[in-house]
Formats: sequence, C-alpha cells, structure tokens
Amino acid sequence: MSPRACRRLARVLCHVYPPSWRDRYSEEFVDVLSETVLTPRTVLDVLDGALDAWANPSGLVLGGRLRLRASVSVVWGAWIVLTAGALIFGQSTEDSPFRRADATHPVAALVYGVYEWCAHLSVAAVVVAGAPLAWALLRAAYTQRRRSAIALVLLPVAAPMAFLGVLVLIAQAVPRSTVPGVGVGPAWFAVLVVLGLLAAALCAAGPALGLRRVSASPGVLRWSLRASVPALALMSVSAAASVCYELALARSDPSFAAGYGRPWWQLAPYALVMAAAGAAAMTSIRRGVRATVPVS
Amino acid sequence: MHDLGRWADPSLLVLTSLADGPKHGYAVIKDLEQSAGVTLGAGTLYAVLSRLEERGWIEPLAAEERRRPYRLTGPGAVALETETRRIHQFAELGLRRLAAIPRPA
Repeated sequence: MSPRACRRLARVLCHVYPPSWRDRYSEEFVDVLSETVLTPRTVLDVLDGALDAWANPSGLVLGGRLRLRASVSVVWGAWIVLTAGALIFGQSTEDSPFRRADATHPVAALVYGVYEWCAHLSVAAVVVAGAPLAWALLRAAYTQRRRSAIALVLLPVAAPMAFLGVLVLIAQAVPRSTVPGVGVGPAWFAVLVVLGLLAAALCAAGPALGLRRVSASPGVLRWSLRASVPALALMSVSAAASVCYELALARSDPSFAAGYGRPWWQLAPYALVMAAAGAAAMTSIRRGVRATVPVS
Repeated sequence: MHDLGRWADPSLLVLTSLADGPKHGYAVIKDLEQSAGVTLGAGTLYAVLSRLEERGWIEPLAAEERRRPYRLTGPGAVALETETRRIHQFAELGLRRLAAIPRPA
C-alpha cells in the first residue's frame, strides 16, 4: 500500500474516535498509524481504543459546557427513539385480539403492564428532567428575541400535537377494517408510522438545535442530564418489556403468534435499535457527567 | 498504577520508554519493540498516553511537524519507580524461593 493510501486509511480509522478526542490527538495518531503496518489486528486495536475513548473519555479532551450540551442532545434523541419504538409497539398491539390473549396468558399480561407503566412513568420523568432546561432556554430566547429558538424548543410539544391532529383526521376519513387487528389497514398504518417518525425526528432535533442558538447554564444542563437517567432507565425497561411480551406470547400461544405476532426479522431489528439507543444514551451520560468532574 | 486496570501493563512500558528521554508516539512503539520485544498498537498507545497525561505522569512537548513528543514528569518518575521497585521485590522473592527448591543435577 502506498504511503498516501496508508495515510488516507489511517484518517478513516481515526474517525471512529469521538470528535473531542480527535481534536486533541488526531494529527499525531494518524501519523503513528500511517507508519504502522495495517493488519486486522491493528484495526481491532484501534477499534478497542476508540471504544475506550467513547466509554471512558479523558477529562483533558472534554470541554465542560459543550460536552454537557452534546450529552443532553444525545440523551434526548435516544429517549425519543425509545419512545417512538414503544409507541409503534403500543399501536400494533392495542387491538382486541391481544387483550383477549392477555386474559389467558397472565405472564404476558404482566409484562404488558410493565411496558405500559414504565412508558408512562418515563414520560413523567422526562418532563421533570427537561422542564427546567426548556424554561431556561425559552427565557433566554425571549430575552434575546430569538423567535426561531423559541420555535425549536417548543417543537417537542408542537410536533406531537400536529401528528395527533393528522391521526384524528385519518382515523375519521379512512374507514376501519371489520377484520380484527387490521384497523385502518397496512398502507395507512405505514403512512402514520412515517409521519410519526417525522414528528419524532422533529422532537429530537428541536431542542438540540435550540441549545445551539441560546445557551443554558452548566447547572441546568447538569440537572437535566442527571435527572434524565430515571427517564431513560424506565423507557429502556419498557422497550425490553415490549420485546419480552412478544416472546412470551409466542412461547405460550404459538397459534396466536402465528396469526398476530411479529416474525423474528421484524422483532430483532426493533430490539437492536432499542438496545443501541439505550447504549448511546448511557455512554453519553457518562461522558457528560465526567466532563463536569475536575481533573485531579 | 493498578487502578489503570487493563492499561496498567502498557502504561508501565510507555513510562519506561519515556524514562530514556522524550519521544513521540511512533518512537515509543519502536523503542518498546527493540527493548522489550512488545509491539504496542496505536489504539493501545493512545489510550495509555491520554490516561498518563490526565494523571500528570507525562506531558506533551511542542509538536514537531505532525509528531508530538511526550516526556516523563516528576510524579510520573515517582510512579514508575514505585512500580518497578514492587516488581523487583516480587521478582527477588520468586528467585529466592526458586533457589530454595532442590533441583535434579
């Protein structure tokens, strides 16, 4: 491999590290890596180092307030992903065949109860965690007369309301199928899912962009980050319960699962996305909390 | 040094290499290959360098082109001395006990 190609590959590998780490070490790291013979073992070593840099960030490379801001945005985004997943699961299991199945399968009913309660409690917990930050941002945006920032911070309220409005319109305009468990039909359900995901994306992006336009004090950011842990934990339990519910029904009632259950190729990506969102959020909380600890 | 966990051994190697004078990353790798027969990967090296720098055991010097040399600091030298003395004492204990074992001629 030519030195130029080695250097290019080294730069690509360097991008698996966190941005704050790259700001500090990328030049010298790329230099060392481009002089090293790149083998699968070298690549694994780099991936191991990158994983460590994400999970155990050095206090030297973390800029306090910026890191906190990034962590709050990532955690909020991850919570939205988990919540969107929980909502899709809830929508696809709300029909009467599932409730009838719960009546004959107490374990599945218990797991469904865990899913519902944890999701509701998580929403309450995220309001507690996010309200002081939202208030601080709105106040700062109002003082600085930044209307766009106000709109961005209010998106988590406005986008779901707009989605619910469209949902009501579709539910009234489209006749529901007489077949149990079909509802408005797969095509309209897919439209609702896409619109719901769009609303979720707006919910996630709004506060993150708002945080870039107006600043909040490190104290408020730190409170939101720490208070988001219970909200995330509850929504993660809810997501795990939703997967367990499907598995419990499939195990206890194979004939029901054959008719209404989700095949593994739908359940596995759902579980993977939920797990990835939870892991990203926990890693980001760890990074944010570490950024606030002074280096001894 | 034990609280460095799985990075403790490579940290000891890097500190030992820098005890010979300031070196940049690639020079540390080459030095350890020659002196200890150990090849550190770039990922391991920089995981260790960032930890040692955070503890104040090494410090970066002005970059020379793209290469940034690091040097051992006073606290780093103390940590290296403490650890190497501990290893030395343990090695001596092992040798004494080995010497006491009767061996076949």
